[in-house]
Amino acid sequence: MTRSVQRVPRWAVIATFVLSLIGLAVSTYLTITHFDKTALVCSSTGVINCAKVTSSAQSRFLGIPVAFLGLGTYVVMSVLNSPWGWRARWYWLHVARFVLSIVSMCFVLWLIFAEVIVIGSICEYCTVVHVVTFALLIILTRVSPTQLGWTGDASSEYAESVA
Amino acid sequence: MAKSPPAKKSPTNKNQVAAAKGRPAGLFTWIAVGLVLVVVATLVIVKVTSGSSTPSSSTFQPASAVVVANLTGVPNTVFDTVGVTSTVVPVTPPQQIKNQPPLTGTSATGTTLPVVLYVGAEYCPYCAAQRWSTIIALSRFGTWAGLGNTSSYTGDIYGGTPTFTFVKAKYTSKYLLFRGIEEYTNYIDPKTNYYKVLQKLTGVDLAVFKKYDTSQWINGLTSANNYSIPFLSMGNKWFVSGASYSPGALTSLSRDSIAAGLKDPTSPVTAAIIASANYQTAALCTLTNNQPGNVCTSSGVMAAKRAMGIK
Repeated sequence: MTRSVQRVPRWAVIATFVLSLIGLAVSTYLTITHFDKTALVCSSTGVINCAKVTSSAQSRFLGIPVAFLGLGTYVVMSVLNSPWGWRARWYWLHVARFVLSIVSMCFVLWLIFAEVIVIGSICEYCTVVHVVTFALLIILTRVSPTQLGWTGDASSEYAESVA
Repeated sequence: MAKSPPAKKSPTNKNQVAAAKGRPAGLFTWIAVGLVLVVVATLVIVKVTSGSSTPSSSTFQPASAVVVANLTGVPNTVFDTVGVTSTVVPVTPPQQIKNQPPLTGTSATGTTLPVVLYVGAEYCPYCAAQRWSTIIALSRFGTWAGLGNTSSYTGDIYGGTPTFTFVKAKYTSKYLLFRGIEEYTNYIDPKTNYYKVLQKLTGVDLAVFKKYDTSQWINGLTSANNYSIPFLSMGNKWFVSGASYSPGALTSLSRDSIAAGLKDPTSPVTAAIIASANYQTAALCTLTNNQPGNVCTSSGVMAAKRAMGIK
């Protein structure tokens, strides 16, 4: 059985791709600073303290540096949210994009918990990635359910079968 | 004939049939945004109403009599059974540096005695691990008073490692003097956004720390890690820079359970602490002319001496 996917509006394709590239750039920078601490340029006074956050016990998840997880996520996100990714006909690829967005947001909430409650400091670069992840979630929850045929809007503005 | 309006396009496949019966497109977005905002708002409210997750000040909490008794009253059989065998948690012995001017001090009775200098901080998890074995080793040469409870900074690696603070500790011995410096607390000072300064190194102690806690003297220390803590100078003859065993051995345990477990030589945690204590005891025996004899000739300490090449 072939499942069809609906085309999404151009603004969503452009916005998700741009957001993914921003997330990719910032997470690449955070990965570089994981290896070269001197490359980390940020405030270390008051609530904003990147070094404290990125060197904390919570900067690793199951032994893997969180910066690596962010980089890996945004490499995949950038591919999935590219115009070529959006045009793909494989239904489960689009499901994967939506699921990855939700999982990423859950992980971001855990990181916010770690920063606010456990560490007591905020990393501004991490916050940029968090905001980008949230923005992606908003867009994808708006267009993906329709694209995947889960809502009543299949014949509305987005409806254009590619399968 | 008037054209009739085009018929509404009917769903063409199963997905679209399901979709036609489905939820409005914005529902997922509202649910997601609502959940995220509720979670973030809850975290902020919890943070604001509970204040800092770490204390902004600390009150000295004396260690309980039971814990101190367990800590300073380890049975001789445990020392001798463990020796230097710690198979689960690796233990590093102190490092000898020969031909250095001895670090000595004058006791209350006017006697010149070797000094054991400890430099650490309450936030430091490696210091937290080191204190357990150092207190036990020194308790074989004298008595402790004024030990306090503390734990390493919760936001650091091995956060919350249970331990003791030397900030008000008094050590009495006819063989050795002890000077302990806890440089920082285990909480952040909002004014500096760093750990609050507790005690300052001065004079000879500062000079010893600056001279010997460097890659020039300590094997395995890189210049980037000069002035690491914990730092121990045992009479300027034996040195420890960095924990003798990993704080990871202690992190999931309570202070009471670690102390109570010191009677069990089969416990991997006890083995690490006691092996480290035996190594330090063997080093200290070289400063006290092997006094007290029953300690310095015990089989556990003799095992450490052999391992360290002490004759």
